[in-house]
Amino acid sequence: MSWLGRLLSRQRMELDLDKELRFHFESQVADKVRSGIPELEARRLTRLEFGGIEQIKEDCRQSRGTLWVESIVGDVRFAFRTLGKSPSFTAVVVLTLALGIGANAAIFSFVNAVLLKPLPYPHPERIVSVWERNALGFSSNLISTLNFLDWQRQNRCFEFLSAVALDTVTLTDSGRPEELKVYRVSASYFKVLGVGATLGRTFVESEGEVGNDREAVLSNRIWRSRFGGDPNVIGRKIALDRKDYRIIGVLPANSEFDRSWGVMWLPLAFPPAVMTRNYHWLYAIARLEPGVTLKQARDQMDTIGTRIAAQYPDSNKGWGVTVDPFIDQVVQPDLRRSLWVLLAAVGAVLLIGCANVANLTLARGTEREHEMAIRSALGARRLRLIRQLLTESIFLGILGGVAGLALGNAFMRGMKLLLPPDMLPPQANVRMDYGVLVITMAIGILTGILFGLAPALTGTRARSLKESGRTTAGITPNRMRTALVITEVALSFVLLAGASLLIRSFNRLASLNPGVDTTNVLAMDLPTPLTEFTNSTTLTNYLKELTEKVRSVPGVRDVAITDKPPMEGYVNGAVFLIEGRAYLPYPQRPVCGFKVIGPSYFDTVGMRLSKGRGLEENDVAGNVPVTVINETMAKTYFKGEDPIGKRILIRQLVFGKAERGPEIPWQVVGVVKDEKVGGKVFSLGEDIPVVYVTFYQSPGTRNSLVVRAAMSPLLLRGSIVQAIWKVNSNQAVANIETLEEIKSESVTPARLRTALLAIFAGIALLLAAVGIYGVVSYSVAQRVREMAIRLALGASPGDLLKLVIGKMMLIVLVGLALGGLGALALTRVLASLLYDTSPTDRVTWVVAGALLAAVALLACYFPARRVMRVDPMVALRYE
Amino acid sequence: MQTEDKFDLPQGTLDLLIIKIVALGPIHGYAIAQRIQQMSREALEIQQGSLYPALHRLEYKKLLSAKWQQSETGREAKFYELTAQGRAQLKFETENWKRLTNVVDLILKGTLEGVS
Repeated sequence: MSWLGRLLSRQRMELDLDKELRFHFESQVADKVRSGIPELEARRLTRLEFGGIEQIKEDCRQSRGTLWVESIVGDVRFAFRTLGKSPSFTAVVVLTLALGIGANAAIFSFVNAVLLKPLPYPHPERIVSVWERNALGFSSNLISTLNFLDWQRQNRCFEFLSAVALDTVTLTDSGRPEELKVYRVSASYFKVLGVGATLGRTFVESEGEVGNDREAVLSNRIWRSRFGGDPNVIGRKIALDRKDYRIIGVLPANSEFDRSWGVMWLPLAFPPAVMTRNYHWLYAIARLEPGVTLKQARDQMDTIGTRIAAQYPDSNKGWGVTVDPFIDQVVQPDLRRSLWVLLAAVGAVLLIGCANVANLTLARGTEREHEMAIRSALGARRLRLIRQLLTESIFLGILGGVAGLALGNAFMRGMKLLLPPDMLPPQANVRMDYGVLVITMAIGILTGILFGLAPALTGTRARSLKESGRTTAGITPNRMRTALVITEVALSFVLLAGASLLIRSFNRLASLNPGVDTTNVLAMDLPTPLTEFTNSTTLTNYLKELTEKVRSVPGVRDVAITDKPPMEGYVNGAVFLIEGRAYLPYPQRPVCGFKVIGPSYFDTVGMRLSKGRGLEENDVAGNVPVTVINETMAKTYFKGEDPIGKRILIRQLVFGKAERGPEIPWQVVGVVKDEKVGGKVFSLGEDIPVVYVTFYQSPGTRNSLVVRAAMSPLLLRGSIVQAIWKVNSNQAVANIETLEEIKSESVTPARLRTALLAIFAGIALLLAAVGIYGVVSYSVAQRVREMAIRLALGASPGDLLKLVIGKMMLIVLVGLALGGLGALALTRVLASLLYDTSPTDRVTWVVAGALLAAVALLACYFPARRVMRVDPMVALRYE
Repeated sequence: MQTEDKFDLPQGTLDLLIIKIVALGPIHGYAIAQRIQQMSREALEIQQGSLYPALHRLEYKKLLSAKWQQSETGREAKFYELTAQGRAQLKFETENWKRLTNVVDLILKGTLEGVS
């Protein structure tokens, strides 16, 4: 019978054992009765002869070899009882561990979903993203139609190569017009990903052709919310931009498609108007042919790129192709870095927690010295005692793990609520999955061993019973306590320094002047589909009419059209050349932002002119094309010159076509102070050269409205939308936000990682303080007699205070120094997450160090004060 | 008699005695204790605290097997039997014992022959 089988049949064995001994007992009694002893007396005698029946049973069990399994059960039971007897110790330990483990579980569930899980596609390693590399070396430039088609025709390295364009369409089916975000994709898009529809089908090749492209694949989310999850939706027609589209498929539920930016996938067809080489507007993803390596694909695409550049130097000279693993596009480096930093931070918090618990266990070990001495006097071997103590620690670790799992789940849910929707890649499905559960429990058990081993080793060192009553602390536990405090202080300092750097950087970022007056300004998108406006004059007049109608709403101060609201980037970049400067071939010219606005834009958002005039109502089509440039543009490209009157050559945007027209000169009439164009798109801190032109002179279909109100602009929301609908009841109004909101959103990732790291650093500091407090109060309690003697010999209470605090602060300083070295090495990884802040920023480091030292001093002072109350008479009376 | 009660068995001898007794036929624990006592003419009294752990140890080592049977008093008792392995062990241990006692005897009786 195996030990397991025997353990399982233990119940039976116990019964047998009992029966066997009872038989012996009864037989012995019967014999005695037979020899003439009265029964009662016979029983008494037999019981005396038998001795401890439990002892006999235990010996029998032991001789059967099941003991080690049973003794673990016993150890656990014993641990349960011991810990139950000191509920406050247990509570503090479990709480500390739960906090540390919970934070780890939460962050790890993000790391797991974002960094460790492969993309949810078959053979994700074969999926790549493909970009153009422009002549200036920018490696992820959007792609022009003809270049893309050439790649598609000429390559032999991709099984499928698919283009993607982001778009918005207006759904006019159900009363109110609504803007929907959509992807227009090549027919092979879902083949690249290797994903099929759960209902209906995805696209087939012919649907990428013009005239054959009126079909839609829905995300599961919109299918459920807008179409009630109706399985008969396949084949139904919906009106997008007033054209009929047929629904052909629904994508899987709870997939990345439910979490992505767009809600619908439409075929991407290339009408003649977009058949150009110098208008870059497409993304691309591809699936490598089986057996083709990334390097081979890069080489082949390089060759193709070079060939195209040689063939069409006008548009392509110096341009090339970038092929990168898709995962690198899905998980941006900043996110990757933030997650690793946070994971390291919670790891450090857990280590500090472990150090604290080890400290507590050490102190408790001293209290239990007597117990251990008795046990070993009764014959327990040291290994057996260590095992028993470790069982206790591991048991605590598991309790902490379970509590931490619950806490971590709550943390994770909270963080998911706080996260803006587009901060994590849609492919990341953050949840407490099996892997996270296993890892968390493993961490629990591991921490149990980690904080339990050292105290178990020192606590069971052989001591005689005589010694154990009145112990003067052994050297080793004290040295271990010192080491633990040093570790805690060092780790806390690293965290504190990192958090302070992020906070300083965030403050600089958040207090950045956005260049616009954000109070009381509302921004909204006005999708104006090409299908409604076939020529630029009708569009221009329509936008003008809208502007005037909104201006007449009571409470509106000013209103303007812009292609993008402040801090949200611009629609078009422009390759330019300043007239009269040395000629540069087109592909090698510098690039600036080309922002299309209404003349009232600068006033509405509160931008100030620094030179010349602003854009005016009579800067219309047919008049001289004029531009106002920002100061960065003036400083970068008109160094030491007056830009006013200079002309900038930029190819015209052709209305309704994905194409650049002929080059025209834009005359600079003014210079305006920078607004922060970046934010959601670029970093908010980036200064970007921008030229502003009126929409009269360069109309486009991507338009937003900014409105300055005399009051809180959200109050005007309803009346503004009504005013718009009075002009056109089919006009969708989307993304209504105040500039304050936009500004706040643009620093959300930075705010989030800063807040999290600050919270973890705070916890670390608190735990370190608790640790120092514990060690000091323990050593003071231990040294009462010594202190009493010192007092009796003439030391003043102040001297003693200085002695205790001085010694501890020396330890803290050692920890600070080590932490400083660690931080020096580690904060470097923060560099790319910092805005205008050096990782070795001296002020930040000094502040962090001072804060830690101050907290440590307080944590020393309070328990150390007790030496002042030592009364030598009382303390020495019992000597 | 009191002194003989405290007779200490050399280590490992109890196992040998038990095997020997069990070899005479299936027998339960109480009877083993009595049989040893009788056969040693009351010189040995085996304590339950030694007997049963020994029985269980021998059963665990598969030298003995056990089954529940009616005893002479009509109650169920656990009867031990010698296994083939136990029989071999008995033979081996008996010879060992004899050799050992001979040697010990030699030394205890002997004069130091050959050494002046």
